[in-house]
Amino acid sequence: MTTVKPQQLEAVEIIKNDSNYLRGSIASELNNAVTGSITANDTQLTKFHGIYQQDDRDIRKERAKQKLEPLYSFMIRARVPGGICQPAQWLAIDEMADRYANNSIRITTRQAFQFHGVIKNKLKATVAAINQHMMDTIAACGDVNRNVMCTANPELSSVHHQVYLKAKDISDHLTPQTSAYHEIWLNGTKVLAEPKVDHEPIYGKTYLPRKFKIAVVIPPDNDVDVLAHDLGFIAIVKGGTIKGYNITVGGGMGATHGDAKTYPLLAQTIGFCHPDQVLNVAENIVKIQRDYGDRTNRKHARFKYTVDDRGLGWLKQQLSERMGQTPEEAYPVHFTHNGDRFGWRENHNGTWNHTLFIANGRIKDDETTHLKTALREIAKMHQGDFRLTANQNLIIAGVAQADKAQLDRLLNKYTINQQTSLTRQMSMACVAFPTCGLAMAEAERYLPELINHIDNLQVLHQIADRGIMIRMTGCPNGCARPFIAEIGFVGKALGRYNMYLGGKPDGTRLNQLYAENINETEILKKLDHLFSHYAKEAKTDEPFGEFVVRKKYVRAVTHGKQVHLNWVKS
Amino acid sequence: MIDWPQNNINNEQWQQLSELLKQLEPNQKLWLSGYLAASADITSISNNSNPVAKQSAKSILTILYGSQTGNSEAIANQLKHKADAIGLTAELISLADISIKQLAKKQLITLIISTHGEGEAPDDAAEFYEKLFSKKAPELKNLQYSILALGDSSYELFCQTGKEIDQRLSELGAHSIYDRIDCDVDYEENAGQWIEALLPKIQLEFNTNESDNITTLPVHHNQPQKLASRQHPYAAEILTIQKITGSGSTKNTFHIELATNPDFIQYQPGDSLAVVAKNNKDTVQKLLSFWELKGDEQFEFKQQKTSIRALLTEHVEITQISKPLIKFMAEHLDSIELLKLLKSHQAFTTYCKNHQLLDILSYFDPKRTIKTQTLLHQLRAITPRLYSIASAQSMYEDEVHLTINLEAASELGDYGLASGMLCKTAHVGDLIDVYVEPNPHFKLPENTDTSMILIGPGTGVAPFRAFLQERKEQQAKGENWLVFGNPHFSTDFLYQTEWIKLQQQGLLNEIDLAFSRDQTSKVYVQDKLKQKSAEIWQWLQNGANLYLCGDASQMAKDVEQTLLEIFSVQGKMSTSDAHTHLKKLKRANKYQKDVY
Repeated sequence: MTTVKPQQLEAVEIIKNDSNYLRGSIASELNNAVTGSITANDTQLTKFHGIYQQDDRDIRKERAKQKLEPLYSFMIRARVPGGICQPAQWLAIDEMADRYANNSIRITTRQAFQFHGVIKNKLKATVAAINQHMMDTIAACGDVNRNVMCTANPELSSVHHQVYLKAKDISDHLTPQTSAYHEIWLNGTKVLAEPKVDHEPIYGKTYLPRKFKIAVVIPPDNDVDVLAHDLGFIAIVKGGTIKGYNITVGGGMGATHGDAKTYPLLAQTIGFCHPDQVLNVAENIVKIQRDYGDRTNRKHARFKYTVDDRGLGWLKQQLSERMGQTPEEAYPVHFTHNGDRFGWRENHNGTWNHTLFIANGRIKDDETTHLKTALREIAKMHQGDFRLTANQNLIIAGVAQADKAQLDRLLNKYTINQQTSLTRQMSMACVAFPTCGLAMAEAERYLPELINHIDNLQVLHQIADRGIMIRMTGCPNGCARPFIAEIGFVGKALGRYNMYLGGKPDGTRLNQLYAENINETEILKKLDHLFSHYAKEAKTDEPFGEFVVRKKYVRAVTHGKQVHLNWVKS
Repeated sequence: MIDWPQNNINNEQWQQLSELLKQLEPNQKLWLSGYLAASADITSISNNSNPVAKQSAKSILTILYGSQTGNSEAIANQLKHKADAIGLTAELISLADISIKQLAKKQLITLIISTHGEGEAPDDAAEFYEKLFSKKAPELKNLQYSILALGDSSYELFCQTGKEIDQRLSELGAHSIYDRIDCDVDYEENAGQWIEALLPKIQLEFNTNESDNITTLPVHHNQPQKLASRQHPYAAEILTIQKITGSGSTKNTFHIELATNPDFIQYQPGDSLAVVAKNNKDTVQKLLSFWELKGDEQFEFKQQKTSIRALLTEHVEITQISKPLIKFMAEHLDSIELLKLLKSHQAFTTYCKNHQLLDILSYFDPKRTIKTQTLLHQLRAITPRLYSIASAQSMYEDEVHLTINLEAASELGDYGLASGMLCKTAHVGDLIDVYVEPNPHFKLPENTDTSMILIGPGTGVAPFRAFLQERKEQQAKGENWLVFGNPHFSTDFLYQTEWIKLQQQGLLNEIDLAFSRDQTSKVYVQDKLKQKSAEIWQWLQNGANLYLCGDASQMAKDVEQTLLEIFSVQGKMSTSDAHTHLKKLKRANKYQKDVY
């Protein structure tokens, strides 16, 4: 019996269509006292408002026996375009974490803030507080353009500010126009003036088929992993001024285990545009995805598949028609790395930045470190700004020479600038258990422990001076961009991971599946072998990701479909 | 003599039945009628001469699913649509919503289940899975089944849950009507083929069932027995001891399930179960040590002379303190502190909350000036502890459920007599002595169309669980309104998932919740009643019954005070008229309470 699957719209498409511009029954569900949850349909809609329903998966089964519903809470994501945040905003976020959430703040891989554990009857107050401090949560999740990312490095401040403003412009331009957000969360009161007509000139009432991510980068840094995004703008700087931007399209991380039709992709360059064309390009690319993205299969709905299926030529033609002109020839660009630079560094204007390593972006006080308290104290005296990096770290930026010593005292007092291994500094994990509903394995709670073992192995093989970029996610959706890492771990089940090798540490090559479904013992055994070989035969300054490709442990991936291929097996 | 329908029962059977009926007490007859009615749909009584009997249990296909990501549920839905389309009656049930007992009553099931991680069942099927594999799982000889397993072949244990359940069902005696199929991530095509192949098999089951498989009504061999009583309690097996307040709660509330034989244990919603408990052996030992006794010394208590250990274990009340005891000790020891306890009832009850016999003796008479035998004369005999039954027998024929709050231990670490035993020391499988204590003044309305307002904070909600189960079985049309309260929503919402389900099923029409400590100002059930004054008045005016269960010392008084206020404001009556109105409702059995 072979039947062609009918091209039915995804259920989420119907929900969006019927939601009256993202209202659904959210408002009335917030008042339903019998449950700490909202309806399944509304959980799809709250994402557009920056809110994910989650539950504590550690105690889900225990509570079912107790005849209690899962312990529901919500994750709220606050958008911070370009990741720049003022000290006053930091203090407000710090306080909200204690008052409304689980006493912790998480810096996300998209340079946003995330609160976890906000219970239903505190949602409104939390969203209101975020807006009161000139941040918002709308479009932080959902099938729309998300937080627009921007290179965080303040040393490039001569052009950084202009690029940052461009990122913010893109963010503002693509923000949904529905008044549902203010209506539901802010009771109609507004902090910033916005039109109140419910009409989505860019998105239409069913918005996009899937999430959409944009990043702006200033080479040679590639801290934002620009090629992992649906749309990227690479600043072309000549003689201290911005000539324009190379446009990259069709990147994205997400895949599904066992489904070869899903794969991560790096973006391709489609051309160049001048600074005044950026909004026009962004709007039209979004509109092309709106019109041609696959609304019948969410696993195939990202822009990367639209581009991969139809080809770059098709896209170029579409874009040219819509803009009335063909994009110009792209400039050659060169990236050196996609990590952060830690410790003190001086800006061209004489001010200083200190980049702090934040393990997995989690800011909290625990028995050993009072990181949250320390940063609150710093925010109270800091005159510059804070920058959330795409690697979940934090830059205390624009510190005057005169304030440097005081800041150093605080860093030392709270011992939050401790030396960690290079590999740990470059590492990144997503949230996963216990709150993320998609997680199949641990990530944030486990990676630090795994790196302890990996550190020991590196010491053993005398390669501790070689930082290796390791990223771990609890599922294949790719929040911590694991498919770009030199070593990627993607969760399959509790305690089991797929292991990927061979990403290039400048973010320009995907890695490839090396071992499937392995546990810690097997991971360490394999790494022991690889490290021993690497220690003996690596060329000077040859990154681990390059070495494993040269030695044919994996192939150099040129297309995302090759990521799942297992070189060893075949 | 009843005119018996000739086509159903022959003369001989009728003779036997008449003989049996003569021996039955009225309440036994009542029970039997219910029993027969209830068993008629679970026992195949098909008979060619009886057209009604053709409507047998196997005319319904039960589609069960256990889903993590929704795939199983989607296939289950697809199967149901296909079954409906060819005229097969099918019901769709999540594994989260079916007990093993209910499963045992089904005849034809098909089960669609996925496997997660390292061979784990989906979360919503976890409990079902655990019960199915427990030693107490019932035989499933009358069950026919088929299974579709979903999984991911890249995992070591592919479709493990489906495989295990298949094997287990067959171990329990169920018959597979179609070989299990294991589907990989790309399940759509296989699942579609499975449905197409399975449906004819199911159709065949529906058809054959009408001609063969004749079984007869089960004859109740048991001679009518005397119901369990205080003198002859029934030894009930403990099936479940489950804490139902979440981690982090200040309360320790337990849900207890007991296995009972309906020949001995018969109850109506509103009745209580009396638990005949013995004292904890550690508590007894502590007392013996205090008195420096070995335990085999002979003492006398209420005309009974035996070893002191036996007396303390089985006969003497040592967990509760009585006023006469305090009076005796106050006089004997000339203690002002003890006299104070006698003067204020409030002080007395507060003291009793965390003090038992040993606490009072070791504190006030550490040198043991009161002789053991003298003291024994001042002590009371153990009394059975009563708990409002939390289940309806119409739904759980051979079980009794209880909701028990385990109060904090006394100063010296001892718990309540029955609560300590049930929640702390007993194990599943232990036997405990029980009997039913009827409560004729706390009963459902006779007219099932009558609406009810049920006010039951804390464990006071227990009988209302029974009430609603009964109303569900009765398919009662009357509306139901529950008012519940406890300290915290997240940990103390007793039976939350059941109320949510009843709400979805349309059985629980209104629910108001007072979680006293979830906000800065404390909110109690009476505050919720006050907020809903107009609606309460309206319901009562429309003939609703009002029920109140729970703490007598404070809550019941506050609620009654609030009711009086509602009457005077909404009914525009004077205070004394409001009092009269409340009395009138009581006399007419429109207002019933069970407070303690």
